[in-house]
Amino acid sequence: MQEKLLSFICQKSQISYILFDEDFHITKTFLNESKIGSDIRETLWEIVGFEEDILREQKLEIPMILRENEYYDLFVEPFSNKEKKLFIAYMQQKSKDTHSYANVLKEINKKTLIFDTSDEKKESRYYQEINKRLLTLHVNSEGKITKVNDAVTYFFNTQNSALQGVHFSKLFTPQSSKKEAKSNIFVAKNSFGKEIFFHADIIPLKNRENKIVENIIIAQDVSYLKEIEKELQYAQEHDTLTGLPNRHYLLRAIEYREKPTIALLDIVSFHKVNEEYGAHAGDMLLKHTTSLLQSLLEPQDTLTRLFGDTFVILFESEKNRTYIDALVNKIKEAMHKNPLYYTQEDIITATLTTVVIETNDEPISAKELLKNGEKALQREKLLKKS
Amino acid sequence: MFSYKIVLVGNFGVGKTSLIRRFVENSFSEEYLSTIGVSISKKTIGNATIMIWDIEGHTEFKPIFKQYLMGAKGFILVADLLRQETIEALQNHIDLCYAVVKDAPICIALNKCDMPHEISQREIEEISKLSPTVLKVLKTSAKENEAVEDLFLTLDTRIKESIKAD
Ligand SMILES: Nc1nc2c(ncn2[C@@H]2O[C@H](COP(=O)(O)OP(=O)(O)OP(=O)(O)O)[C@@H](O)[C@H]2O)c(=O)[nH]1
Ligand SMILES: [Mg+2]
Repeated sequence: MQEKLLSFICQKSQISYILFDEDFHITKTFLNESKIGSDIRETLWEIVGFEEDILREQKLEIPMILRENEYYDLFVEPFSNKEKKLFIAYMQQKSKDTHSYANVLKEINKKTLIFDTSDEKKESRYYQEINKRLLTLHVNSEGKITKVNDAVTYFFNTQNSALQGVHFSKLFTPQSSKKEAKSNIFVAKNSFGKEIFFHADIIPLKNRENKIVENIIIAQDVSYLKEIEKELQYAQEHDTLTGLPNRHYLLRAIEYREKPTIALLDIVSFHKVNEEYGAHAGDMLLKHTTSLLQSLLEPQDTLTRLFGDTFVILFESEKNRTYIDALVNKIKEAMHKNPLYYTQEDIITATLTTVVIETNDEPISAKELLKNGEKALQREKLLKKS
Repeated sequence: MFSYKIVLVGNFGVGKTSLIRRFVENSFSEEYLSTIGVSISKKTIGNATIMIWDIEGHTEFKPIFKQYLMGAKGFILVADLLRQETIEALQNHIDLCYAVVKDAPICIALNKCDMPHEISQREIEEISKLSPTVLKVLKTSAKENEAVEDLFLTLDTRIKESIKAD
């Protein structure tokens, strides 16, 4: 009776059903009488793999199965029958709406796949990546900010409104050296207080009368370039043995002083140390001299190694000749008192030949000043020998 | 005679349906008809009938339906060599398979290898290390019938071994 009722209900509501026993043999089916006695898995492939769950009387529910262009949901559950333990599998056919829904999804996937493999997507990604790093600001003719992009608010960790009307130069400081008066490099502090270097392009927007009404500034983070540049410059301007600035650095530093005074110091008979004890001893003596000199100088004065055993001190402009002469004597004394203990037996005492060169009112180039110094030192050395 | 179930898992459009079509009926179509829901094919290898579940691919707005993975004896994970994001998604698919059927063997197909692509041997090795259950990572082409048999048969062999052992 129960089974009869079932087939009636199923017919009305587009449900098909199959009854099967614990051996998965079909006992009754709505579909085709000839299948009775056969293994249900030959008809319902989806049951394979779920046998244990079914026997454990777990309900099974598999949605949206496509078969012969029709969609249906499958349910499997125990079916109460007095004589025998049975199970019922019933399939509910999906409505027409399901088909149109599926067709919409298919269309979307098709279009997305075409887009995903197109150059357009690759390009748009590429530009998105670049744009994320580009700060764009609109600045009016007075230099005040009128509009910024998200990259800017993110960089300064602030609101768009907080930047309105702020003068561009409050945020970005131009980095120009003496040589390049006009530079495109600006520095700005990010929200963590770190200085970031930007290369900024300024694009003026003109109106019909050819008057600039607005500037668009596009700033690109070039800190990584600056890092490299800094490292390169450092390497170029420093001596690897002592870590002291070298001739390149010295020349640049002299140019920045108004009336520079330099002292040149040379270790007497340095080549003899090398000959007698080896190059290593020479290197040690240079390092030893460096740290001695450094300990006696004020931080404002610059100690450099010109070459070989010649050191140059560039003095701060305020230092007068009396101070400098006294310092030079102090250095000589310290050198005498603090020999290099190369080994227990080999104690190397170095003495220095020194000259001090001042600039008078006539301006002189850094190179010339240094040349004068070197000449004077040579003269002094010859004098000492004779 | 016995039968078992395997499932092909991957993002949409990677070629799951195409790999199955190549393996089952040795044919291929350029036209992309995305699978919605699931359709089941079968193929007999030796003394076993494999029920191959072709399920709908993962998309941004539709995750993979766990129910479809239940009861599987093994998985074939498919990625598209031309779309990096489908390769990156493999880890998620592996996790999903593991959550549903612990320790089921996995073969990975990096499909569409007939097209120009960039993948290094090192990347392939990294993919094979995503899980200890990964048996093999193969560059496949449903279009040119490359490594498709190898893909299904490697999994079949392992599954038969484990069934025998039981
Ligand atoms: N060149 C090439 N194209 C392929 C290959 N395999 C599949 N395709 C194409 O890729 C597209 C998607 O293939 P399908 O097999 O439908 O992908 P799917 O993984 O089943 O996609 P969903 O069902 O949406 O998850 C179709 O246009 C196929 O023709 C292949 O090996 N090489
Ligand atoms: Mg498909």
